[in-house]
Amino acid sequence: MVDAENILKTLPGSSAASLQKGLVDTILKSKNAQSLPADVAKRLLSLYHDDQLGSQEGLVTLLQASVLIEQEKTAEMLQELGLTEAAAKVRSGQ
Amino acid sequence: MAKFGVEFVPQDAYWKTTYYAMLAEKSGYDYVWITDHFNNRNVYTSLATILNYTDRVKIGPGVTNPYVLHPMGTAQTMASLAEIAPGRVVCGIGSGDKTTLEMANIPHEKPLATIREAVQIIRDITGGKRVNLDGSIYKISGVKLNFKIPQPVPVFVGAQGPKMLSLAAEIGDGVLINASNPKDFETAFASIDEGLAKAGKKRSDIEVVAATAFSIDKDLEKARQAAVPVVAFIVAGSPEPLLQRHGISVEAANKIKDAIVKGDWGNVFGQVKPEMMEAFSIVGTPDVCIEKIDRLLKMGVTLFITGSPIGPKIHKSIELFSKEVLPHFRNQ
Repeated sequence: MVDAENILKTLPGSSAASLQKGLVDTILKSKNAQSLPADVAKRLLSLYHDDQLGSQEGLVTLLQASVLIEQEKTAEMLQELGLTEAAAKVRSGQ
Repeated sequence: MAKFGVEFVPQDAYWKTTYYAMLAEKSGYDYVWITDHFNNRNVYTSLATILNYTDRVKIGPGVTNPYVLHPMGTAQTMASLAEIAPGRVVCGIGSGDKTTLEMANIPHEKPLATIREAVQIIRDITGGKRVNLDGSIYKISGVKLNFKIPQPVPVFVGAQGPKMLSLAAEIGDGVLINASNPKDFETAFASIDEGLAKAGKKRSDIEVVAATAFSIDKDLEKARQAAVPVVAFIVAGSPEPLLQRHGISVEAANKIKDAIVKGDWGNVFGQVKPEMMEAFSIVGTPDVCIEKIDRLLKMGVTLFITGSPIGPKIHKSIELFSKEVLPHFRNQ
């Protein structure tokens, strides 16, 4: 299981907006949406309702959701954003 | 001021449809409609979830029918939803899709009488009345909810043919017209005015809703490609007079229908011609969409719905519509 909180700690704050956008795109494009656990889905919707997807908790939840349904595509997206170390951690499941 | 709605087909996981509905609300839409087909997620479960995660947008089935669920059940469901979000629930109802009903061996009988009585039942029950109806379709005695909601749920009637359009205007709070082309609205307005006259109502007493097949993208070809499957199904299911109105031959429509039956999707999509796209969808870049929407609004449409497919990527297209189309009409 990827430690989303730990991965996010290593990222520069300036990448937050593009990361949020990339993660949202990844989960909404996913064909595996049904396999997102109910508790993560509910947390995601609550955070979006409260406009908190860009917060630390929001990004952690987005990253968890994205890795759970699209591990490789999440890694590719992080790589495209130049977040090489984070991409490697996602790929290795750390 | 014109109102804008979006229609979602609940074919994705519930959280995705809910996310799209929240995005639509945050993007400035006024209405979210959820389609009602037995093979997708249940419309009312979807609506209840969306109501709990939204605060302003109006929401309803777009549209249900009185054949699968008795209007008493629809009324009870609408009232229950209205308790979750008072003043935000609307009921869209039409006579249903004959082909779908046949799959369940449900007879599609007397649609005009059925809709007339169903609308009365839904309006009266959600209005807190005790309903006694000795109708030609429904016989109801002494039915009343044992809970109250602040106001009756507005009922929008889905219609296409002249008789149903007239009835919809006569009895509905809104008329939902499944069309995208001005030619269809010209014809529809004649029937709508007839129905309004019967009820002693004016155009301003109802919402006239354009439920369009819509696709927007900055890249015209991408927008077009996204709408091709939707248009193929519309052409295949259209009656002859409607095809003729748009200069589409029955033979061309039958070729698409046959290819759909065979599951020959490459052929289906290859048979969709530009005149079919023009007749049955609004497709384009923001500027093109503005022009086409403006034309419908000037004809008398008061609520414009961006229906399926919305665009190549639903969330991107909602964002694009919000940024580049809605402001044009909001700032008028």
